[in-house]
Amino acid sequence: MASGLDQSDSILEPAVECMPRQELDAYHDDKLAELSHRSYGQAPLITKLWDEAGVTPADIRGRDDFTARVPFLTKDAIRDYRSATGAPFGGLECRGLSALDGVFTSSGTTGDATFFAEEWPRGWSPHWIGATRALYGAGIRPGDYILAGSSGMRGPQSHLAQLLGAVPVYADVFNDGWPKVLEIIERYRPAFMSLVGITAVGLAELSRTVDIERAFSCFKVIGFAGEPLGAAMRARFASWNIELLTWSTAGDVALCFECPEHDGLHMWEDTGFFEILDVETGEPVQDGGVGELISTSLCNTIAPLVRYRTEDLVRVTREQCACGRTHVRQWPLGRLGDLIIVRGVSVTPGEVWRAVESVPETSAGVFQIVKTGSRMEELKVRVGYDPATAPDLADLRRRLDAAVWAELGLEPSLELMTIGQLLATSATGKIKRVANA
Amino acid sequence: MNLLGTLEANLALPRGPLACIGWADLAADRVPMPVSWADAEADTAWAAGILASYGIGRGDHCLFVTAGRDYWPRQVETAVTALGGFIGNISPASYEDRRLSVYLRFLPPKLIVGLSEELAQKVVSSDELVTLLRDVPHILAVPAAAAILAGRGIAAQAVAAVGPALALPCAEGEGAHVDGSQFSVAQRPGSRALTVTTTANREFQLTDGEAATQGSVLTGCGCGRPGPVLRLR
Repeated sequence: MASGLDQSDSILEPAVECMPRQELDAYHDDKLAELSHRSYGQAPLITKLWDEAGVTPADIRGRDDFTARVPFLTKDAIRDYRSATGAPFGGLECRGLSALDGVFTSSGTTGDATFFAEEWPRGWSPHWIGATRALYGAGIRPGDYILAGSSGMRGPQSHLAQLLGAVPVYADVFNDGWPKVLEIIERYRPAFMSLVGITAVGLAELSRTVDIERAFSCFKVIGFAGEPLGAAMRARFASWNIELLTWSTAGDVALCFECPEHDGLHMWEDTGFFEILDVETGEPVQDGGVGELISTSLCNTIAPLVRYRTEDLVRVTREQCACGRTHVRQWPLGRLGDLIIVRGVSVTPGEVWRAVESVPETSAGVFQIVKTGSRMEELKVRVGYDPATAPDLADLRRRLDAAVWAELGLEPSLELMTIGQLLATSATGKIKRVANA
Repeated sequence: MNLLGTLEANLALPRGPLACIGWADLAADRVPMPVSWADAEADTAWAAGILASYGIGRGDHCLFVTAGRDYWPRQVETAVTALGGFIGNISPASYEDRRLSVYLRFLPPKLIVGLSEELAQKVVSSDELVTLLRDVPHILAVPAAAAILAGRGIAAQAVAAVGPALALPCAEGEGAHVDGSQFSVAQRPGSRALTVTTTANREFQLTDGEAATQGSVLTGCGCGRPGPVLRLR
């Protein structure tokens, strides 16, 4: 289909991004049938799972057949198949290595990282092609400077800028540190960069000595990814007059971003088919409901995920967004494995987060729940405090204790440490919100 | 309707002369290094010529260890895909030993490019990783990492940016080549300081700039390729 490029407004491909639901449904019917023929018989793990379930490609004529008959795929199944056979993509590969341009990995926080295989049309990574819709929507235009890594774990981030006609300025907050990056911002006045939790915390510390609002006044928008953003941190960015655009993965098949309406993250349904299933019953969740995200990749030509259980807990809606886009929106709520029960009370990191960030000395939201099992007798939480506030630790402990009680009705066991000490325990540059004891 | 349509929309957008802005690490400072699309094209073509000596072709995996701030990894990554190979990427941090292990076990690379000092230090403390790395046909590591790996019997040649230029070893020789059509490199008498001059009409120009990377200029390489050949420290 020819692109509906319209540079006069804020939507890169209006004909696609605002496609009516009926047309999206018809598209999914076609693509799922096509994917079934492409995967079965080629991808060994898919073939094995379908054979066990007694399903053949001829059975799949569209969404209804697909959701009723196709077996689920799990990360453990992919890892197990890979370990047993040595097949690098865990039996999802439909084509040989000669078709590949790039291979990237999951974060690997729950075990051995798994691979994502990519074929790059005309030399451009599809991972970043999809993301250009969001940045175009946020006002990034040709000639803008974008702070970006040249390349990384998820491929050449530089493509994101270059595809939009913008100029990537190579920078790495994690390795260069904020003072160096501030020099770069001052020099180039970029329009976009992206942060994760740890770098955002560093910015909060920097705000004591730097006028963040002035320094960052050049940005049209700043991305934030890696975990849900706490309310206090969001408010802090707002106080600096910085507009944040949170983004995440859409079930490991693409990226999904907020639009300027900030009302959920748009998952591009031409790149994936997304189901939301009730965690207990496995039944489809109604619009606005909460469930596990199940993803199927429609654009991956090498090793597509087919009915993949992401273990991501999300809320979704298929209602049209105020921005005019029609594709499904999600609100990431956490990981299924992060749900724990303490003395019969279900606890999520988000609830602990709200309590922690309500206390000034710990408002950066740096904390970690220590998990001893899915059902625990005690809620043990490591909390990072800002040492510059020189807190009375006994008093801080009392106030945190009260905040957690107010949020959850549980008396926590708190381990206090400085933010730096807690961040130093991260082996991946990402704050692990639920850590095994 | 798919990402090909999005790509079409992207490529219809106007594009200026700059492909990116990287950094040249000079002895005195790190300075911005604008790179034009023409510069990038020349850099990729030259790197592809060097990588061809390793026999990189369709279906070959090249694993990169890169910090996001460096330009040269994109130059070499693009050369790999131009040759028909494919790339993987990990960060230079020591915690990437786990991800490195996954790549080595399940998708063994033909070439590793840019292995960092931090990661090399972690690697040599693991017998498993040492064994796996010994099976990698070609390893290009930053100079400090190459020395660390040699201590465990892992052969690695040194690769580094030398100011705005890339010094990339070929498979045949023991030195690292610099693209002589773009740069000249000289050694300061009596020292290991290297000075770089741009000799082509690049976006970034430099005359006798002392690079942060040190080494010595060799008389040539057995492969016979033109241009400066360096032994990096």
